[in-house]
Amino acid sequence: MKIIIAGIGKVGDMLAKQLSAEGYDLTLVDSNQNILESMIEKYDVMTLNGNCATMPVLRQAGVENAELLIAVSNADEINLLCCMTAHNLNPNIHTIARIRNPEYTEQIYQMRNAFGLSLYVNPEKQAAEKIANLLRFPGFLKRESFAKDRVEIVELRVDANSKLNGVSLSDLNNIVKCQILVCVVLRNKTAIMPNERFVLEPEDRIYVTAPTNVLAFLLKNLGIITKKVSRVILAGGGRVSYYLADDLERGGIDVEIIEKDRERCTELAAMLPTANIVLGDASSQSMLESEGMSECDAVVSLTGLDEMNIVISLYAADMGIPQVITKLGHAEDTMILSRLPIGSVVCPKELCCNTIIRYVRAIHNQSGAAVSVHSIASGLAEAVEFSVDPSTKNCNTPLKSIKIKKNVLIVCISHSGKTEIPNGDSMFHQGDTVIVVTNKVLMQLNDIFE
Amino acid sequence: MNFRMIGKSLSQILLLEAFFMIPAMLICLNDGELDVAACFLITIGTILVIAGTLYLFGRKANTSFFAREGMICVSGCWIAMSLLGCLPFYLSGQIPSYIDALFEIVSGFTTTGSSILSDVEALSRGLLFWRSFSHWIGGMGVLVLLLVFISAKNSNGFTLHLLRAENPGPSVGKLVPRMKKTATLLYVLYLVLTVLDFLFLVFGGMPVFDAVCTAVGTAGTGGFGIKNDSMASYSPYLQNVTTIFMLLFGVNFSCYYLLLIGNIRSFFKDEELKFYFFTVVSSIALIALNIRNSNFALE
Repeated sequence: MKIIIAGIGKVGDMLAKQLSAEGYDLTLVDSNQNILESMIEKYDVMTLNGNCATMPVLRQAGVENAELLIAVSNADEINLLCCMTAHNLNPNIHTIARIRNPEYTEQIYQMRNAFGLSLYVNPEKQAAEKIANLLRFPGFLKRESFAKDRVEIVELRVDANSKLNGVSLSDLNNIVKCQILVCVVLRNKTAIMPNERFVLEPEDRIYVTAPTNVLAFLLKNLGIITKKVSRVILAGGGRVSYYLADDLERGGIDVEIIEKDRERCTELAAMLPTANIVLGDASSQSMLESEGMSECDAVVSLTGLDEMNIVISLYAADMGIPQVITKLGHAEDTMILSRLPIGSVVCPKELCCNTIIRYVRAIHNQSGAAVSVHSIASGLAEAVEFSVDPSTKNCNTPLKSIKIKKNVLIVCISHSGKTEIPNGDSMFHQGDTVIVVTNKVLMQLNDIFE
Repeated sequence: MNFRMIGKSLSQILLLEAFFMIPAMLICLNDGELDVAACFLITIGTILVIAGTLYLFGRKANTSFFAREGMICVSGCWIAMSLLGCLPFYLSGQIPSYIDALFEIVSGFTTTGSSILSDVEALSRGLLFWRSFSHWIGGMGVLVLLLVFISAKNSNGFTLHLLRAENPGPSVGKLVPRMKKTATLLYVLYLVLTVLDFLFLVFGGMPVFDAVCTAVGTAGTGGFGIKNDSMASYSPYLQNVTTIFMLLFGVNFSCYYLLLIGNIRSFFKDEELKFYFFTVVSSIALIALNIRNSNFALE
């Protein structure tokens, strides 16, 4: 399948890496020759230097026989123009544009056909939604929702004094007293798919599948904080802060944004009338203290500098803030960060890429394609959601009599509103939602069978 | 430096070289020159042993492969291929000095076409074929051929840095997004043009063996012929065919790809192609002018 990526920034780079590894034919278009050369060095792709929103460049990039155009340049307007032009040259092409400016939200939604858009992504908005989700259940490092938010895979860290320390997985259900499944354990930079006899150790990061309605119960039984978040400090006043503050304020949570640019502060104050906007440098510890950091329930580091965010989060964790969330723009190797107590890590470009890759996989396999794909365990494993359709093999057969590939784990089956952590006698029926965790690339549900 | 990975790639390239020697050996067997065939067999055996050792050495290599590894791999590959590729000449005693044999094969692989032989026709036909065929191998680059065979998935760094190091220019011109497909396309075009050349030559009455040797030599834009007087004793038709194909093989293969996908307009607009033909035509004119009044006898 031929894909054109227009505009190579952080997201373009990540997409090029992932999609070329998955075997798609990529053409990258950018107006900066240096960036293109570094892409050619890194990935097996073709590049084209030029303005991606012009007809000759798009034609030269082969838009007429491409199936998908992903416009992720840094300007929303160029992305839109690029998609419109491509759609004009090839009416059958799928187009994805990144639109970040909140002011465009309404017209993008209403005019998506006029723009020729199949999908639009907003990394900052996605990140804000993710963070708001985490703040709803403080204690989990990561939450991935599946099956219309009925099932979750959550990440927990096993500390030395945790109730989970030294527990073997077969005894786990006696402690948490609810139906959960540990699907992946991240230990010493490797992802392990544990069996019943596996014993948890400190420093392990575990990924747990659980129905959404038992999450609060799970936190309580594990002795992890259960206090509802009522006051949050956001360090940095960028787009993510705006979306997040808007979302949290509506949920009745007090928000304080610390931003060092005066003009941006005025802007934010106008857009978020109920939020508390403070002019100041969030990296200064005295500043954070004077703003009452020790009394807040959560700190979210959202400045434009990854290093700064890490430092702010380290400081917040040191102060004993129950929930710390760190935004990282680059996050090339989250592995080295997993040892640092910087709380949950949220990476906008990763969220945006996951959405796009899910879409690509879906148009690649029309039937039986993954409904959603989430990378877990620092990208070493993937949790994939499928719906069982008529083409699925082995329907209505107990799992114990199906041969399933190695390193593929069925973690959840959701039948019409009822979710089940499967055992050997479970089976799936047409119309069910199945969640699979694996370290392979799965295109369709049928790929899991031997 | 990831020496294990370099060793592994070298072993694959040497394997290809051993494979390429098989036709020459078969020609010797067909001609009943068992001693020369044995020389090829010994060479192939030697190559296999070395390739096997390198493969064992590089079996458990981690796959990290960067520009530095690419450079070492490409230069190492041509040196190793030359050192081993000249063995049939040397072992058969038809080029008694190892250094001379090495010169001959390096000249072949680099498509230089200079020769230390004063009497080409004295060589046995198998050796003559191997000599001409080295032009064909060198013409498109054996590394590019290697890229055709290795899996396209998860070999990102490997294929890229190999092709970059093999490519003399500042940037790699790809025909299609995938390196493997690009390499395959290049070789298919190369092969088709070679076969076409061969057919034109055979049609003009050239013996099949001569036609194959001439075609592969022309394809690599090298200069090895199989006659002492090179092309002089062949008919003007054969000389003209060879001239045209020499010109055609000199063209950047990206241009043929443009023709192949039906983009004829871009083909004729290509700057490089225009300059190429301009240089050739003006050189012909200047040389003709220069030798117009001199009557020198052909040796």
